[in-house]
Amino acid sequence: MKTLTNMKYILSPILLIILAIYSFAQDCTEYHQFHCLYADYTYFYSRQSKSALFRKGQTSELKIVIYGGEDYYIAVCAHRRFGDLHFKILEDNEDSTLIYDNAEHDYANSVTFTNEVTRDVIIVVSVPGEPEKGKIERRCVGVVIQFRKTKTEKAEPSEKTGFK
Amino acid sequence: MLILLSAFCCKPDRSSYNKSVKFEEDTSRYAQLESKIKEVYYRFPSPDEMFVIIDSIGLQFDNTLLLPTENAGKYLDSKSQALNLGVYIADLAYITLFERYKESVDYLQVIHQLSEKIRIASAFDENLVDRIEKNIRNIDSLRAISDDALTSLINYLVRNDKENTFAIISIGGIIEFYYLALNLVGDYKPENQNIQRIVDQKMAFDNLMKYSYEFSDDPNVSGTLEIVEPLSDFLNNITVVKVKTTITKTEDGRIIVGGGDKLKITEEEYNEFKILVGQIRKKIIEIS
Repeated sequence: MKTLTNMKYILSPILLIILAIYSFAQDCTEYHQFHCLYADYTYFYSRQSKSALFRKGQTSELKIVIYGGEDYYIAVCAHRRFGDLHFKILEDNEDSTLIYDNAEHDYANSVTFTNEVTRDVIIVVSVPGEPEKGKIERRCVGVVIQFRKTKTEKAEPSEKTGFK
Repeated sequence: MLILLSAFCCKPDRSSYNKSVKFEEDTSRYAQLESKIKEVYYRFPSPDEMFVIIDSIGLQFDNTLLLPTENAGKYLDSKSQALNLGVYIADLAYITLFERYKESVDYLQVIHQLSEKIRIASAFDENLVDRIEKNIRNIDSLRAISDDALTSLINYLVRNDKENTFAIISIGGIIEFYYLALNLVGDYKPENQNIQRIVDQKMAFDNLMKYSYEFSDDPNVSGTLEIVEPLSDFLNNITVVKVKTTITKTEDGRIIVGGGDKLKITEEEYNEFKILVGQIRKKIIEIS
């Protein structure tokens, strides 16, 4: 009995260290910056991008602002053990207008679109599957948001160029 | 391994130990992680993103609008230090918009100094000051440095459960954005698209308010929310023109999101907006 009590005192700090390491491993802050696919260099990174901790079967919402006159690129990513992520983009209005649903596009992990007016949108991200009772599996899920000015069809001014 | 170790180390010396008790212990052990899982996350653009959408062609840089760098040392309490750190971050975004390298260096340094005061300077690369000095004549490098610094600062605050401080910094930043942008575009003209773009930032402001309310049990956050409440009330009374949203696809498959509600501000409201922002900014930057 005494041996068991001593073991408890010896192992408790070890357990705490392991827990601390495990907790650190669960820090998702920068996950999207290093794991999600980015658009090409013409897009700017938006600090509305975010990573968070998810469990299987969980759905979370990211409420962001998208500006008018801008093209947007939105990508999601997670560990492959989470499978294909489901994400939808809804306008945050009375009708919750559906802008995009990746379930209709073979669960593609990114989308680009042009936005004409500034609006609030909700990105709804779901991890497939059911939470398994007693089994704790949490992983990071990332959402990258990028934007660029929408190219207008305006004709360039006809200025004379060159030496002539 | 973790479950095995915990079962061995913490097993109580009694025969009545059962699976349900063990499950509860595991659950409480992970309660801290569980609390990090949320249903809704409010996001809002940073001041540099807000300035990117302002069309700066034909607009004049005015350094008298900026908060003087000497003020930084005079803020003594943590709330005013965090609020004015946000102000300086927005000033840097404004400076970067006009590619002014001399001011960029000064403001990057003051941001670093103020961050040290509120003990968040470890967010930055320890060579930040050296990098600034080495790139003093290169606006692109300075822009990249300030971009990295801001991303690191936000990540640091989120990772270290200092989102209450992040909320205060962001409120300081958005008020300074409004102040600079409204003074930049000048008087009301209905055809001025920049005015519409500034007014549209109401959505970012709303998201920031909802985010900040999550930390309102912190007296510094609730005190900051009190300062900006009149602006919140004002923005909530701006007319919204209802327009149905349309989702269309071009021949090459591009998705176009058109239509949607639009905020409409009158000249009178615009002038009131400018005065209100000026008053709130004055409260934020005043030295107690």
